[in-house]
Amino acid sequence: MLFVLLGWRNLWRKPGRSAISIAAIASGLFFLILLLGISVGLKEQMLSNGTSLLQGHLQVHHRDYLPDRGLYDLIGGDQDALELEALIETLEAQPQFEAVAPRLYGFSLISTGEQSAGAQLLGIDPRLESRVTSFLEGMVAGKSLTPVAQGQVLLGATLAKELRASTGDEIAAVTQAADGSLGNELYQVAGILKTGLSHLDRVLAVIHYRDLQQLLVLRSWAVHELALRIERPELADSVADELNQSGLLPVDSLAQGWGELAPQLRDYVGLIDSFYGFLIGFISFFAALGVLNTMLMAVFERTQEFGMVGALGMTPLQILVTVLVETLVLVSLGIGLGLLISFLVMQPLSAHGIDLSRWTGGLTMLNTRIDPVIRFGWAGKHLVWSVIGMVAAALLASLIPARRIARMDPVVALRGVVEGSG
Amino acid sequence: MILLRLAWRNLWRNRRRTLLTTTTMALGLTVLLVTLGLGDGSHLQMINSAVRSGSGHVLIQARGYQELGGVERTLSGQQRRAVAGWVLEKEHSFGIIGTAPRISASVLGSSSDGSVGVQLIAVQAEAEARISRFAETVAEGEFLTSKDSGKVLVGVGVARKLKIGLGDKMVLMGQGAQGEIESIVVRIKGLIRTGLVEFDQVLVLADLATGQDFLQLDQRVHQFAVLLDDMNLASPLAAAATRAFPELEVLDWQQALPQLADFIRIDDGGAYVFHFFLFMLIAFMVFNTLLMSVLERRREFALLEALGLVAGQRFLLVLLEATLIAVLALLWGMALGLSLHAYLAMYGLPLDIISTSELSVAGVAFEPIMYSSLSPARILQAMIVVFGMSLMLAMVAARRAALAGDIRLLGSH
Amino acid sequence: MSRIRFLPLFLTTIFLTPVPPSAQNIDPKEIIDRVDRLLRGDSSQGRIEMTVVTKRWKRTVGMEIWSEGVDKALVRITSPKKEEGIATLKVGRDIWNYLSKIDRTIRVPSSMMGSSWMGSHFTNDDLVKESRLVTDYEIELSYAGLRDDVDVYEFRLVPHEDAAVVWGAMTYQVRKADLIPIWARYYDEDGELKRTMTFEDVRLMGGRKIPTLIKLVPADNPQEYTQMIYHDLKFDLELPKRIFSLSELRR
Repeated sequence: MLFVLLGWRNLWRKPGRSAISIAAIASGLFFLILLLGISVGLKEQMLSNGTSLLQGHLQVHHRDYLPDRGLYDLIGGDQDALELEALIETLEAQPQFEAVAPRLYGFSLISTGEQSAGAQLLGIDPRLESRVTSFLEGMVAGKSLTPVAQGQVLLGATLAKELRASTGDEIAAVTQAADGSLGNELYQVAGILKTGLSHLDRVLAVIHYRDLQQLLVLRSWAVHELALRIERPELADSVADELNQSGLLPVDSLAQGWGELAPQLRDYVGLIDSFYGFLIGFISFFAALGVLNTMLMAVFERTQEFGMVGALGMTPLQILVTVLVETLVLVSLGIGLGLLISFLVMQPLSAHGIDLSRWTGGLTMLNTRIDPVIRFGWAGKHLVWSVIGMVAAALLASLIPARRIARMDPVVALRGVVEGSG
Repeated sequence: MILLRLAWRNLWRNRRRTLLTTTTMALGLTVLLVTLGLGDGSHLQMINSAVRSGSGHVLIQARGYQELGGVERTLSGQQRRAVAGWVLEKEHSFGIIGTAPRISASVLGSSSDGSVGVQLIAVQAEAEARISRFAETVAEGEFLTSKDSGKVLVGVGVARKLKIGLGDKMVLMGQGAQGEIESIVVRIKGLIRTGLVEFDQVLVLADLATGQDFLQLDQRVHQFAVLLDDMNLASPLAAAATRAFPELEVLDWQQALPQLADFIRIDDGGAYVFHFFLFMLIAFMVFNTLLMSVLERRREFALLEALGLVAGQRFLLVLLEATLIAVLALLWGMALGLSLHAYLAMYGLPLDIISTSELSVAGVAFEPIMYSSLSPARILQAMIVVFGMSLMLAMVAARRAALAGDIRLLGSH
Repeated sequence: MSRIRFLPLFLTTIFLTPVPPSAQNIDPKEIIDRVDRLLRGDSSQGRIEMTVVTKRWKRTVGMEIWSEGVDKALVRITSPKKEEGIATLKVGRDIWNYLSKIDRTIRVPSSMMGSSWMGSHFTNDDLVKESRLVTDYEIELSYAGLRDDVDVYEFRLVPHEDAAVVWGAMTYQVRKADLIPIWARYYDEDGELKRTMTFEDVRLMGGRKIPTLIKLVPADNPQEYTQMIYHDLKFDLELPKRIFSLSELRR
C-alpha cells in the first residue's frame, strides 16, 4: 500500500527520533511482558502451593461425598464395585492428566497407650501420591524410599507432639469399621509430616490405603477420592467438566477442579488476574505518551508539506490516514523489536526463574525445603492484549496531531510552521 | 544565574515537550506510590487481622506452651499480676493499645444432637473487645461482657454441627488442670463468623472466669496478648519482655504466626522484583523523552555554541532544565499519587466484584477491601528513587547535549 | 442430701415389701433414683447380648460385665471371635480400652467421649456419666393412673440450670406395682424427642425383678436401635478390687 511506503519513508527521514521512539515502544512492551510474566509466575506459585500440596488440581468423588465425607460414599459405591486399577490407568492414559492418586479417609482414635487423640486417617498409595501432591516432601523426620509402607504411619507434627510420639514408636489406631465392628491395628511411626497448615498438622495421620481398607473392613477397590494433576492448573475447572462428560468415570462420580473445591483460592487468584488489565492499560498509556510526542513533532514540522499535498488534492481523510499509518508502522517496528527482546529474555526466565533467596533468605513456608524461585510465565492471552493495548493507545494518541493537521486549511499550512520544533 | 533563568524559560518555550517529560516522570512516581501503598496496605491488613485474632503483636506465655500446649502450663496468679503491671508501665513508651489475658483448651462440646471437638478460648470481655477482631465478627447475637458467666459465643460451623442457636445450651467436657475430667453447661449468646472456615468449625469463646472455673485454673491464665499501635515495636517489646521475665516464653507475631510471616516475605520478594522492573520501565520511558528532546534541540545547541556557550555550560543548562522538570514532576507526582493514596487509604479498593466468598490466605481471613498504607519512609523512598533516577538519566542526556553542537546544523532547515 | 443416706434403707424396703406404697408416700426423687440404680446396686456381674441395627449393618456382640457402684465398670467382649477379648474399663470419669488383637491398652480422651461406645447408640459419655438424675434434675410426678391397662407413674425431669446435661427434659414411665421402668424419653430444649429407651421382658434375676431387655431408639432414625439383653445378672457380690484395674483388663 502506498500509504505504508510513505509512512516508512517518512519515518526514516529523522532516523534518530524514530529510533528513539521505536526503542521506547519496544522497551514498553518488553517491560510489560516482564511484569506480566512475574505476576503470572507469582500467581502460579500461589496456585501451586495451594493445590499441589495436598489437594491436587482436580478431585473425583462420589456425588454425595462432599461436604460430609460419609464413610460409605465410595467412588463406584452405587454399583458396589469399581475397577480401580483400570480406572487409574485409563485416566493416566489421557493426555491432559499427568498423574492420578487414590485416597481413602477415616476418623479414628490413635494412641501410644497413655496418650491418645482423635486423628484423621488418610490412606494413600505411596507410589502414586507424590506424583500428584507434594506434602510428602514435608517429612521432617524419617526417610525411606517408599514414604509409608504397609504397617507404617506418618503423623502430623502437632499430632505427634500431642501424642509424645516419634519415629520408630508404635501407635494403635481404633475406629468403627464399616461393618460396625471395632477396627483396631498397630502401626509403626515411619516419619513426621509438617505441611505448615496447622489444621492438618494437628490431626493428620497417613497410612497405606490398603491398610486403611483392612482397618475399616472395606474391599480392595474402596476409595473415597481420586486426586489428579494436570499440566495447566488454571484450566482445572474446564478439564473437570470435560471429564464429567467423557463417560470415563463411574456414573455416580463427580470431578471438580480446585476452583470449585477451594473458592477462596480462586478469588485470590482472580484478584491478581484483574491486576493484569490495569497493568496493560497503564503501560500502554505510558507508551502512547511517547508516541504522541513523536507524532506531534513529526507532523508539525512538515506542516508545509501537508499543506502542499492538501492543496494538490489530498483529502483530509487521506491526510488523517497518512498520519495513522505512519504511526502504525512506527508502532509495529517497536512491537516487533519488543517481542524479539522479550522472547530472548523470557526463555531463561521462564525456564529457571529468578531466585529470590537473596532478598528473602531461607524460607520454611509450607514445607521445610522451599526454594523462593519465581518462574516467569508466558500467557498468550496477555501477549495479544498487550499488543492490542499498545497499538490502540498509540493510534488514539496519534489521532490528536492527525486530526489537527487534517482539519487545517492547506493555505494556512502552506504558510509555515505552526509549532516550533527548535 | 543566567543559566538558571535560561533553563526556566527554555522549559516554557516548548510546553509540549516539558509537559511530556514531566508527565512521564510524574506518572511513574504516582504508579510507584500506588502499588507500594496497596502492597504495604494489604500486608498490614493481614497482619492486623491476624494479630487481632489471637496472637497480638507480642504474646507472653509459660515456657514450652507454644510447642507443647497443655492445660496445666499456665502463668501463675502472681506472674499474671507481674506481667500486667509491667505492661502498664511500658504503655507509653511502646504505644500499647491493650492487653488481653487468655485461656485456651481443646475440649468436647455436646448438644442433644451430637458432639464435636472444639477449641475453647476464654477471654476478658472488655479487654478483648478493645483489642481483638472477635467483637467485629459476631454474626448473630452479641459479644460477651464480663458479667456473662456461663455464656459463650460459638463459631458458625460449631453451631451448625451441633444444631444449636442463640439461647440453646451446650455441655463442655474436658480435662482440667488437676487432670480430672470436668464438665459444665453453657448457653449460646452469639455466633461468630471469622471467615476462616477451619476456625469457625471449632471456636468457642467464653468469659475468662467461666473458663477458669471450668478448667480448675483459679486465677491462672495461659497467655497474655499485647496489642500495639505500631507493629514495628513488636520485636523491641518482645525483647524487653524476655529480659523482664526470663522464666516465661515471649513471642512476637512473626514467631507466633510463622506461616503468615513467611507468606509476607515471599510476597515481598516477588514485589521487589516487580517494582524493580516497574522502575526500569519508568527509567526507560523517562530516558526516551530526555533523549528525544536533546535530539530535537540539536540546532538550538549548535546555536548556543555559536553564541559562545561552551560545552560545560551547555551541559549545566540541560542539567538545570532536567532538575527543574524533575522538581515539577515530583510535585505533581506526589500530589496525584498521595491523593490517590489518601482516597484508597480511606475508602479502599473494593474487591467484592471479584471475590464471592470470604477471603483467606496463609491462615488469615481478611475483608474484601484493600486499603493503601504508606509510611513516610516509603514515600521518601519513592521520591528519592524517581528523582535520583531522573537526574542520573538527565546527566547522560546532558552529556549528549554538550557534545551536540555542530555548526553545520545551523544551516539546514 | 439426707435423703441419700436413707436410700439403701428404702431400697431394701422396696424389695422386701411387694406392697406398693400408697400415693401419699411417693417421693419422685427416690423412685427415679431407684430406677437409675436398678441395674447397678452396690456391685453386679452379668452377661449381656447387645444387638445394634443401623442403616448399613446389623451386629450382635456378647459381653460380660462387672460393676461397682456408679464409679467402676468393666466390660469384656466374648463374641464374635474377631472382637473376643476387647474390654472397656471405666474408673470414675476415665475410660480405657483394651484391644485383644493388638494386645494394647489405650486411654480414651475426653475428645472422644461423644463417639459411640462399641458401635452402639450409646456414647462413651453415657457410660461415663455418673448417675446423677436426682442431683441434676428437678423431678415431679406428672401422671399417675392407667396406661394400656397398666397402673403407672409418669415423671417429668427437667435439668437444673447449671446441670451439665445436654437434654432439655426427660420423661419416665414406671410401673406402680413394682416400680419397674417402662420407658424413658429424652428431649431437647425445644421439646423435640431425641431418643427413647424402653424396658421390657421383666424377669427375676439375681434375686431382683428387673427388665432384661433395654432398647435405645434414636428419634431421627427410628429403624435403627441398640438393644441390650441381660442374661444371668448377679447383684451385690464380693468383687475383688483388682478387677477394676488396668492389669486385669488384659486377661
